[in-house]
Amino acid sequence: MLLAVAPLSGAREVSLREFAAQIGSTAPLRLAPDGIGVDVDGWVGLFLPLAGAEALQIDYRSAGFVMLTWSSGSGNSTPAPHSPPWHRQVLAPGPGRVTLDLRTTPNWSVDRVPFLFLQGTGTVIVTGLRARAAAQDPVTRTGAFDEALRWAPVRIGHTTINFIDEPFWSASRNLLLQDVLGFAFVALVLGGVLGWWATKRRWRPGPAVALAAIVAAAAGNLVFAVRAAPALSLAPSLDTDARLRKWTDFDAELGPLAALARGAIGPKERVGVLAKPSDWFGWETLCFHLAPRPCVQVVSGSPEYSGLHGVDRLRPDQIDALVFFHAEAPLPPGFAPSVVLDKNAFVARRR
Amino acid sequence: MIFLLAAALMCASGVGLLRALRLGTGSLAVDVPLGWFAGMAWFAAVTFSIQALLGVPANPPLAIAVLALPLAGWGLLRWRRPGFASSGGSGPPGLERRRMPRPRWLFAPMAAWSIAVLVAVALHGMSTPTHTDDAYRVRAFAPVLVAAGTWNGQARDLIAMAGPIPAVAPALAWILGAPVDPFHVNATIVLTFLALLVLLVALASERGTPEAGWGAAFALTSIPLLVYHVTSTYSDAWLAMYLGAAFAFLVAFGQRRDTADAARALLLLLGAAMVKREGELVALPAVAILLAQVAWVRRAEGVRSIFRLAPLCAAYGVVVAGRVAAVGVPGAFPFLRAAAERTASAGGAAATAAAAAGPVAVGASTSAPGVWTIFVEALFSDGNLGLLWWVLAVSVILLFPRIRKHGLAWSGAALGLIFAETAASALWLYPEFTLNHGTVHRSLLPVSAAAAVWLSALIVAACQPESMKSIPPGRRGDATRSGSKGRPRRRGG
Repeated sequence: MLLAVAPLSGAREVSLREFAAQIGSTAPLRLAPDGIGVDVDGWVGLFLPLAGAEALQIDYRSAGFVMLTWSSGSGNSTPAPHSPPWHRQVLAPGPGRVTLDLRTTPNWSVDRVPFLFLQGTGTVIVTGLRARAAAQDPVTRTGAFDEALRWAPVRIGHTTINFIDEPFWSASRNLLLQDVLGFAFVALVLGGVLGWWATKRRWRPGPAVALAAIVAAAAGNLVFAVRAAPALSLAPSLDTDARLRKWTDFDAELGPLAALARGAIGPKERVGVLAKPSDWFGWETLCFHLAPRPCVQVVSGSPEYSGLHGVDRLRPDQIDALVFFHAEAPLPPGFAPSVVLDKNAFVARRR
Repeated sequence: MIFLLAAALMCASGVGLLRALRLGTGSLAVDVPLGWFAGMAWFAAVTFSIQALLGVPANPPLAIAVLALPLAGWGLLRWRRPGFASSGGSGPPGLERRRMPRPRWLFAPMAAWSIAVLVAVALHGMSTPTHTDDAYRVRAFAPVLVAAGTWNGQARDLIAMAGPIPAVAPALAWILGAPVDPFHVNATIVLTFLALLVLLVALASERGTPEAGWGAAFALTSIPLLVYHVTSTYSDAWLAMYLGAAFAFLVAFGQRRDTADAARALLLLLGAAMVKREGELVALPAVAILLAQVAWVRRAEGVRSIFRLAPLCAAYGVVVAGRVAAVGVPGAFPFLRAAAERTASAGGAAATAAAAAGPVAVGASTSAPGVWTIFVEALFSDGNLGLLWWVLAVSVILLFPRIRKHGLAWSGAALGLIFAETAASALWLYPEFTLNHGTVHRSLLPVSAAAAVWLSALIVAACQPESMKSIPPGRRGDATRSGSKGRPRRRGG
């Protein structure tokens, strides 16, 4: 957290007024008195013409619920923003500062330009921008790249449950940390066993194996601890809804919307979730947090809706409350917003 | 708070069960965490079976009755049999309790790491709804269905997929009337992790080798993917923890030959069998090895030795019957069906051969690694399992003579079989999930937890001076030894 707000060493200030016209954006940008503004309604992709940048620091002022994802791209096509390791951060409402390391994002190279992906509902005004260029000298640049990857923070994403991104000893040489530690462990064991044999004339590998294992494992643990620390959330809350409001790990609006819906919808009411047809994550998350209330995904035109794993099934006329989340389809006839988080996330009821 | 109350009830019920079955160790430090494991298994098995076989959904009176039954049984046995309280309920004789591992300069940092990981896991696991990185988890949704009494076809399928323990144990507070809070699932898994670490350390300390307990705790907390899983609600961690706890007693049985340890191991293995659909398959080789070991070690007693364990196995048969009643035979044994289909399908064999052949044959991408490469990398290179398999491989090679000498051969065989089964699943049965990195890493978690416990025992045994032997004297056990007292000893026997 402290590193994120500390000045970015070696960075140069970018003049926003000169820079604004060169930004590639999927939504209109506007010049505000104190920076460059963009309205986020769903998602916005931004290509920054800063080829060779290895790190950015952005000062911003935000309103609403917006998540920033960063990576790099060629400038011609939009990269998949959620590819692991998924680099993201929710922009807390009000003024703030984020420091973005681009080297640890997928496929970064000096030829690529920074790509920012804003998702949610709200407004973001960039009030300051600093960029640090990668070193011109290839040896220095490669060394810095390897070091950044070696200590790259673990990024918890949709695939983390299956595997944690592998730590590198030297990413430029495709040398994994675990292989280096493994061979170091074997070398330590052999050294210990042979040393014991040379001095005591006895075959006793146990202590050598034990000591080498502990030393090598401790080294691996140290790296893992450093990498995992930024991802830890160490402030438990006893209140379910407070935890949900705080939870914005994968989407800025979903946690607060789930908490809002839990409070607004009675325990016996039957719920439908209206989201984009392609958005599996949104409706499943909402239905899960509303359980045990019967909850289904509303699919326009369907005579019957299905819930998680097909356990709940409801007809359109059986639904008491609707949770609307960035849906493309309008609210079904007879429903009107009753409790609103923002224009894309609210609870609706029959009039 | 309501969760802690429910957890205390579950734990007390488990301790009562241990005492009623004469499986208590006489040490609260061991019995309380073991009681947590046993209590979850008992409550889940009975509640699930009653729902599946009798159609009675979980409800407060039933839950209270199920939890109270072991305590009532224990009380009744104490009342009817005056000597019951003092019989059983203790560890093997001749053990010197030792709490502090030696050397302290080495074990102090290891203990500090283990405790730091435990604290971080507890705080992170309790403060983030990590189960939602997959939107919802079958294992987190199943307890909600159990508490709500939902039992339609899809719900039955989902509960069977989760397994009785993940589906029922976290729902206790909700069944008793508390509002549904998915965080109870996180909390249950975190508490199980705490119970596992306490159990490993306390058991080893009670048996005079605290180094093995702290070593196992350090090894487990040095597996990054396991640590992450404990903070989430995926059940691979749960399966790993039951298996790890079971291996602590498998190792103890091999070293001390106390049949009560075998029964404790069996109880925990049956618990592992009730986690996920594959739990049964993972536990089966260890159960088979354990029964064979009991029959061999106690062969002087004949079939009586096995009969002592038969009631536990028979009780598990009720759970299997419940699952068959819930989802039918094909749904109850999906892996057998998958294996049969795999064997019967010529195309499947060809696909396996193609996948096993490696990069060229796998598909369009000539640079993609094959299943063998990915599996070996998952074990050694990509860091999800830490350095465990490096250390295990080197230890087995260099310390091989110590395995049999310190009574670790049977448990080592069980470990080998579980590993072979895991490898067969990753390489042959479901190679597609290895190629896409879907399950290969987490399918290795249960066997890795077992390996961590076994490895720690091996290394600690190998660090003892040659003159210290772990196995009690006499290859035919205590019965034979007591019969030979006073007779001349055969030298070199």
